Amino acid sequence: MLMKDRTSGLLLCLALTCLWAAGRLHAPLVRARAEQRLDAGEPLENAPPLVAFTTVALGGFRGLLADALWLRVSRLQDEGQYFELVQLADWITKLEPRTTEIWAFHAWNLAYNISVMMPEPEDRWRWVRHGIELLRDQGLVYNPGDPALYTELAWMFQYKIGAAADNAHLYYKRQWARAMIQLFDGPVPDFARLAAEPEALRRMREEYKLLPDVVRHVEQAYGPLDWRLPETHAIYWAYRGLRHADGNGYLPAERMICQCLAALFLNGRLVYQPDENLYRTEPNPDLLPRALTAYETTLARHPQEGIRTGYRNFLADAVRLLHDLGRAAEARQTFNRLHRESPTPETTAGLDAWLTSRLATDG
Amino acid sequence: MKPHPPATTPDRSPAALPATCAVAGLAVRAAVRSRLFLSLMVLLLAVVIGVPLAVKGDGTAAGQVRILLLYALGMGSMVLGAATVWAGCGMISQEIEERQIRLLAVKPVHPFRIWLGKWLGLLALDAVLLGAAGAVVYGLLQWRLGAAQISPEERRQIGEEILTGRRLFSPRPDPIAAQVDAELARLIRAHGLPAGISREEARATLERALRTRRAAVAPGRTREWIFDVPSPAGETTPVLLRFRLSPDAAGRRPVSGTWTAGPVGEPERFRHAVEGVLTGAVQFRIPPELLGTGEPVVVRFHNEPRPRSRTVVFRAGHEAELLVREASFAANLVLALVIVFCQLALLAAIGITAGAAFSFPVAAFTAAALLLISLLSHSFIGGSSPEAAARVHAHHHGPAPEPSALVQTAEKGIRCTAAITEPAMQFAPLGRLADGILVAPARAARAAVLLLFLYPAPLALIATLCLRRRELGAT
Repeated sequence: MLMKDRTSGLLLCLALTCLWAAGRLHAPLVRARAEQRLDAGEPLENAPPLVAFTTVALGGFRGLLADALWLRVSRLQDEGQYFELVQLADWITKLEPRTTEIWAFHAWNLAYNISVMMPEPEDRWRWVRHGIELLRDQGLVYNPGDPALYTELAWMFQYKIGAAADNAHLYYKRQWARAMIQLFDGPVPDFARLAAEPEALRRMREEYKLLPDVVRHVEQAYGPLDWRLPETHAIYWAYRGLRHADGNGYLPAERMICQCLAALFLNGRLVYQPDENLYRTEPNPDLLPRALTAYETTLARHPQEGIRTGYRNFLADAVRLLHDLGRAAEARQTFNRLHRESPTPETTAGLDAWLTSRLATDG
Repeated sequence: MKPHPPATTPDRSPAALPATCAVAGLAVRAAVRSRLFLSLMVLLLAVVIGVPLAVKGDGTAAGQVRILLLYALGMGSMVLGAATVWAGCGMISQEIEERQIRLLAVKPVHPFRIWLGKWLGLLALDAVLLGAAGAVVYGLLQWRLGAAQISPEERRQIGEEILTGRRLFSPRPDPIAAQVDAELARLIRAHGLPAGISREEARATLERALRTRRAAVAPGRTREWIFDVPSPAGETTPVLLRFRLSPDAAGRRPVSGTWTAGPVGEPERFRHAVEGVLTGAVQFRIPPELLGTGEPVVVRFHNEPRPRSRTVVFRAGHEAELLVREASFAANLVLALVIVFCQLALLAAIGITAGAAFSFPVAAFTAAALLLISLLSHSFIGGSSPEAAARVHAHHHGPAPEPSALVQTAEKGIRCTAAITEPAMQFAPLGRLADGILVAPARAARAAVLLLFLYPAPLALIATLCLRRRELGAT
């Protein structure tokens, strides 16, 4: 009897010790959750029942399941078997719907890694769209307040479609422009027409997730923009991300807006005639004040050398372009700004000397 | 408590075969009466029809067909497998709990015959359910292929690449063993082996390096593979030559080269020029008559000299393969279903044996745990080799530390488990079916021998011993 009492006492002590240890670990765990932003959003109210059930019912084990699926993704990808990957990416992200990095990785994997394995541009474009759709149509639904995810999506427009890194980039650009023409019936959204066409408005909101109010704000803040160009959409998504940033802004989104405005200043007017297979971009010098404001606002908030260098390069490009376009007064004003921002022996020698030296070095 | 001896001597004569059939018939009747069969049929059809609607493909018609084959049949097999284990666990254990098995034991029916009868009964149910699932998938496939939105070109591609049974031929292995040995001997003479590296590890590393080197074809060079392909006499479907580039090198630099193929006597009967950026897996069609009549087939890739081309890096070990049609899709589907049926037979044997040894909840838990352990061991063995783990560790953190005794013991346990279970895990018929790869009759026969006889036999023995020792009328 005594032995039994002793054992019970020992077990009780052990249980109390475990309880105390669990209590001690609670605060660090809560802190770790906050650090990893696992409690940043509201509960998954917008999730379909299956996702809500899975995340609750599987508890911590859903990480293991996600790992197993991820291993399958790696193996299939290594073997060149791609037909399952959209679904597997969908399941993995749904198992960990709050982890931004997982959404970003799988969208990037579909849009970048797998697309380049396709021989035909139309196949590549399909995979780029899969990546965009994963972030835009699902990732942002589960993480509506995460600026990093908006920026990832914006990066796809800016780099994957907008830049020339992919051999099929011209095909992507044409396809996107075609889709936007079908949606807007022109280079910019005509809100009067959209108000009269509920179907177009619905597609804008539901298919492309372009919220009319936000589009208006973006136009007011950075326009006039050509909405057939991918950089404009990069600005739109970065802007939406910025709206969820804290008081100090969000540098990746702000930097992206600056870069896209700089790119649109140089190539922001689109001449597109699908029937004649003509796709050509021209400078949009009207965007200069917008781009300058964007750079200066960003620099004021994030005075970093990288942004300053980008600003200097943009000013230098702008001076040359304005000069080439015959807009001498604007070229001189911009050159003065460049000299104020970054005086060098070349800028001290004046605009003409600077242009001559630039022509000699850059050709 | 001491078990009771059987009331009378069990009948072991050939005439007792009807007893087995009677037990099987009773098992089937019980399953039908309890609506297990009907519920499973409804569930299975819901899965087979519903899954392809819910699962996203890659947006192509070919992707949808492969999803239909892999996921509809795969999920259906999983549901059927789980139900088979569950039903198997309950077949004997619940009869013992409800004391119905006494009626059989006092006939007397030998415990082995009880086990065999239950197993055959469950297999009969599985055969009907699996057959129905296969027929529905086949019907769905035909319906989907008839859809207007599939272009004739897509239909042709699906027919040639997926809805077929192609035997996959790999090239003759590179005779590099002598080269590796010579290189190893030279290294040992010159520097000796580094501390902590065994001769086998050094050899494996050298072999890997040599294979990787041979996978790269510099501009102006030619790489050759020899395939032993039987004569495709009478076959009109084009042979597919598929090659894979290293994922690191694919899709980046434009190359220019020529593929040639033909019998040894005329190795350039077929020529195909490639120009531009090559991507991960590329394939082209070769008319079968160009490959000769049973002679070895020589396939070459000649990379044009610089500056027209750059180095082409193939995926080491999977550079090129030939796919030759040998069977129709219907035959391939039937053979794949035969293998799935054999797998279900093993699951049924596990479930019934667990039910013979334990009460229903314990049997279900034991069978599930056994399957989970087997699957995890399979995954562990398939996903990791000690060399690969050491390589990854060394790459990131320097030389790997000696694993702890606990890890070593766990690893040994997993490897022992895998040594027993791996032969049963080697069949993946649905993946082959969805890839249009032949499910060979020899493979199906091997599955039948292993999964219908060799694995169930010891399980039957265990179950017989358990039933002989168990109090069949106990509460």
